[in-house]
Amino acid sequence: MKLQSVEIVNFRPYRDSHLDLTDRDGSIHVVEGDQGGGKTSLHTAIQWGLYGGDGPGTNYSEHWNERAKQDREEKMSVEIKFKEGERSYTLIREIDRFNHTQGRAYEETTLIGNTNTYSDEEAQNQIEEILPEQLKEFFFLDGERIQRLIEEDAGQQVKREIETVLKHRTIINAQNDLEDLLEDRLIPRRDKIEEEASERDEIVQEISEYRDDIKDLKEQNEDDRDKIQEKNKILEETREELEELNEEKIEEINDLEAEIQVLQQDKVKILSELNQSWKELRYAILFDDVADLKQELKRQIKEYDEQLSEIERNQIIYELTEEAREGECPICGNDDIEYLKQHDHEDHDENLKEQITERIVELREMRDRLDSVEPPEDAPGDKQVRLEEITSKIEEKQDRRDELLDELGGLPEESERDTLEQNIKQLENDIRDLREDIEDREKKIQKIQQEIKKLENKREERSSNKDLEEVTDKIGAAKTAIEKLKTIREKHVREKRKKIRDEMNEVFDQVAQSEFMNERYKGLDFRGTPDEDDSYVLQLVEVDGETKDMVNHQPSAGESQLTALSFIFGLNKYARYSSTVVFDTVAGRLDLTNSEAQGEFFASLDEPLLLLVTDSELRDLGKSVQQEIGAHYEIKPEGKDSKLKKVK
Amino acid sequence: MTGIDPDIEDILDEEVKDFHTKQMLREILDWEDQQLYKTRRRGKKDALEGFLDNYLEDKK
Repeated sequence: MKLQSVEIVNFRPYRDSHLDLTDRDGSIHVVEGDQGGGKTSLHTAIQWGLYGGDGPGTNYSEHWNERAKQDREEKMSVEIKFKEGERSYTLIREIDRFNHTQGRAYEETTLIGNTNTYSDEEAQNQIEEILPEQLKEFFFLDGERIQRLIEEDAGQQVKREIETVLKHRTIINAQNDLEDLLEDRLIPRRDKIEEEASERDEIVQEISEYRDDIKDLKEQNEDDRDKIQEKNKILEETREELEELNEEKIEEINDLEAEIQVLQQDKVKILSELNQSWKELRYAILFDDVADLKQELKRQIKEYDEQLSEIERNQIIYELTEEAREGECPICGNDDIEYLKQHDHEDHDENLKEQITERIVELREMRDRLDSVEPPEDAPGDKQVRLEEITSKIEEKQDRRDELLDELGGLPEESERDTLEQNIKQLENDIRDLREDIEDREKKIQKIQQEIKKLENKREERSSNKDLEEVTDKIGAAKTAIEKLKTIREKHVREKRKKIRDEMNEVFDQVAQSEFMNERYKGLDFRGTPDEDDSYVLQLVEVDGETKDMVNHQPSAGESQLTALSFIFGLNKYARYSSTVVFDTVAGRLDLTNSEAQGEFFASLDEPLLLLVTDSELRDLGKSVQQEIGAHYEIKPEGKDSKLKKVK
Repeated sequence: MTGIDPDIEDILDEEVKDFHTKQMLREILDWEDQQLYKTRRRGKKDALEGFLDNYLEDKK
């Protein structure tokens, strides 16, 4: 970046000033000004023009020109023209809107190139590419400020400067971005996941407990189902028992009782018959005589019947003979009376007939009476056998009944039946209760399962240990990357350490030309070994090779400036960027010899320089600088403001 | 190859033996190199996390 011109409007003491660095040949441009004239303001204006940042945007009242403020001229700008290689650019950074209430102003940046125009962020990106802001320390120098680089605690800063120049910015950005990623995202995420994982574990534990509950409930249900089965079995048995008590055996016993009763009745009857049989026994004994008598009676009756029939026949014959005497024979129709005489002698005694008839009636009555006498069917012996049989049956039935009663323990009493019925009722109640318990548990199980479902959903919403593992792995990977990048950077810096030391010694040799410096110091070095924390503290090396005790014997201002300048320009060779170096307070506390040596060094540089110097500083820089001067301006007062005026 | 200094590339080769780690670092450095001159590097966390994801995925 080769500066061509700078135009400043309403910035600090400059109301409207222009600096043209192209109107004369020469690589060293000079702006000469008294102390307080505006050299540092010009230095700041160019940096703000390039990089903005902590300039007027945020503290505009500090930078806003006092007279512009009084005139309410709300405009502030810096316009820089520069060349990068063959390309020409115009960069305009301006403020034309102020918010006095908030104490802010609004910057606008425009970069006009040969072919393209960029605005704001795009413009800034282009500037970054041309000359990164991080490197501005190496191109916008302040003779007093660079001295801090040799302070005792500046080792880390020196190291950072080295890293910046060695283009470690990519690595540093990667490290910083990875750190940001860790701090802002991955570690909070891990913490959240850990918290969620812990909640998840609690949920998992809760689910596990619920599942145990379900298991217990199911086991209880199984037990109760077994109990129901068992009780059902007992119930069935009890019912059977009750049924048996009520029906079969009792029925059999009742049947036996009935049969015994019938048999008893039969027995009574048989006994009666036996008595009767004993009574009729005489009939049995006389029965043959009766039969003989009945036979005799029948014979006599027959005999009397025959006699009676003879008498009746004879009577008929007599009557018929009587009739025949009066005519012909009624029997043969013969009218020969003589013939009839043979029938005249037939006997037909009426008295006898009457006697016989009476006798027959008597005999028949006797016969009938005998016929009415039935012989006994059974003998007493038979009845006795029958009686014994019945008695035996009765005894048999009674034995069976007694046996059944023994089995039942006697006839079931009402209380026993009640007990059984109560038992049945109790069993039925128990079974119902058990079923209700099971049902309640089933409902409870369903409820728990719903709860588990909810918890499972909740658990799914929570990050798992797998998520934790992933983010932990990611954190590990990020840390590994950061560590490796750090190792790479440090190794690179260590490798370059010696070369940078050589470069800065080369510069030191050129700029430290005074007698004292030559007598006392051999050169510069970094303290200690590359692995030590303060290994980048800059050290002056005395002629005997010993490093100067810079802790107990602080270097002078001039020594400090030369050391820092040597380091900056030595390192600048690694920067690989080409730019006009803008140097404020060049000589500082340098003596004439060293100042001239510095002037010679400046004249030897390839890079163009813009030196912001006092008249004495310019003089002390010597002829070498004078011969190389290109643009030459003076800062002149213009009322309370400053104005850049070209030196003829 | 990353767009960064060849010296650093050599050191990366030398110092990082694991292929996947090396690959991850190159991806990160390439991305950072592309973003180097941008004043705002948008989505840097997403991009870097993506490289870490790739690394962990490749390593499986």
